[in-house]
Amino acid sequence: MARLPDKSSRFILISVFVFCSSFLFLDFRFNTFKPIKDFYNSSSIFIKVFSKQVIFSPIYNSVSSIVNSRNIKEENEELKAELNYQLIKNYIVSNKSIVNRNIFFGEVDIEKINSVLIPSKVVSFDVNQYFCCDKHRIFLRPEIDDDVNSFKVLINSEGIIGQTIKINKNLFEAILLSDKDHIIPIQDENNFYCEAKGLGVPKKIFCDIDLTLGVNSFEENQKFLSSGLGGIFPKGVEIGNISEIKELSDREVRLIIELNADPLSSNFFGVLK
Amino acid sequence: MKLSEFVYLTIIFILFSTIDLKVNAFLFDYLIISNFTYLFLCYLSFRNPQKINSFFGAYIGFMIDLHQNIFFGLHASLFTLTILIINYNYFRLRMFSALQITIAFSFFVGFFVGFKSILLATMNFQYLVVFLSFFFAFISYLLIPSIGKFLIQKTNI
Repeated sequence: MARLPDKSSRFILISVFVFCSSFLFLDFRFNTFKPIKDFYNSSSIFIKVFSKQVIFSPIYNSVSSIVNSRNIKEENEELKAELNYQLIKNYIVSNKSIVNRNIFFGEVDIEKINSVLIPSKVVSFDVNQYFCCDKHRIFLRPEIDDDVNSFKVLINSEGIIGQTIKINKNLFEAILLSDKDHIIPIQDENNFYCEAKGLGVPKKIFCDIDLTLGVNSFEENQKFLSSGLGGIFPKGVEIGNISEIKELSDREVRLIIELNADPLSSNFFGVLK
Repeated sequence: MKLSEFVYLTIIFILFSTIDLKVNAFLFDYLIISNFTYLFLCYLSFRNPQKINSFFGAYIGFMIDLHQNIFFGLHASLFTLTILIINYNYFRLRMFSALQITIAFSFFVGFFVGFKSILLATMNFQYLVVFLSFFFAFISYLLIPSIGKFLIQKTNI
């Protein structure tokens, strides 16, 4: 007789086997344990369905809704950026003269807007400083892999915003027209030229006019355009309108011009190459 | 055996049973039946016959019968019979090499598959299923000891 490793006797081993076999026989022959199996199956199905409906589905739904909302948000951002880009392109189409690099160069082919425009996004814009102080700067990042050099024209869908100052390949600074250190040569429709300086107030530039030159036909809402002198800004692009005329002395007046383009209108800008 | 180990092993066996069902659905076309559950029981019984006794085999067998919704007592009978055989031949099996143990347990699987097939698929019994399942069990048992050791490393089995 073989020796067993277990302390339990052969009788127990064999009797358990016989017991199980009798269960098998009863179930096989008479289907005796069908109620037990049915109960087990119905319970397990109930637990599966219940856990799916009460636990897993809500968790899955909440997770998927988070993912979906994130995707929708990203898609919304992309669409917004694309819309802004299209608006800038529309502005260029409706202001063809803006793609003239300066008065000495000929017309650039308007069909090749993509080749003259570098889309850029705001990285940092100190709005507090923009409203309180006279230093109006924006830091931007080009959206395409292209160098943005200094002295390039920055526009948005409303018009000219300022000009660029190169920092590095991935970042550049823009000095706004309203910055007190900025000067833009402008002209009115009667070919009167002046150099407009930034007023240090949002959307405002000014020109000091010497009345002894014989020019005194200024009125509010008079339109001013870029003159193209200086070689940075294109000629003939509408810059803004006179909002106020201040008398500095008997011989001198200050024209305060409200700019058309608002740098706060979007985070998306274009740099003209 | 502690209650926690008991529950843990029950879950492991139910998981193996589920895996078997899923794998069998795939291997059915190749006339192979996988038996990870049975091989795992063989491994445990041979590793620790004191704890994996016939009562445990019967309990696990009944659980698997319920889980797989087949004749109540089929797995219980075959598991207790296997434990009985392993206990009776324990010291003989201890002298076997790993390869011989693998072949012996693969023979057990052959019998197990044959017996199950006769009861569950009487009209479609095929010797080829038994034959191919033997080889599949031989390959499977090359992995079972490693998996078994990993699964019970934190228990006292």
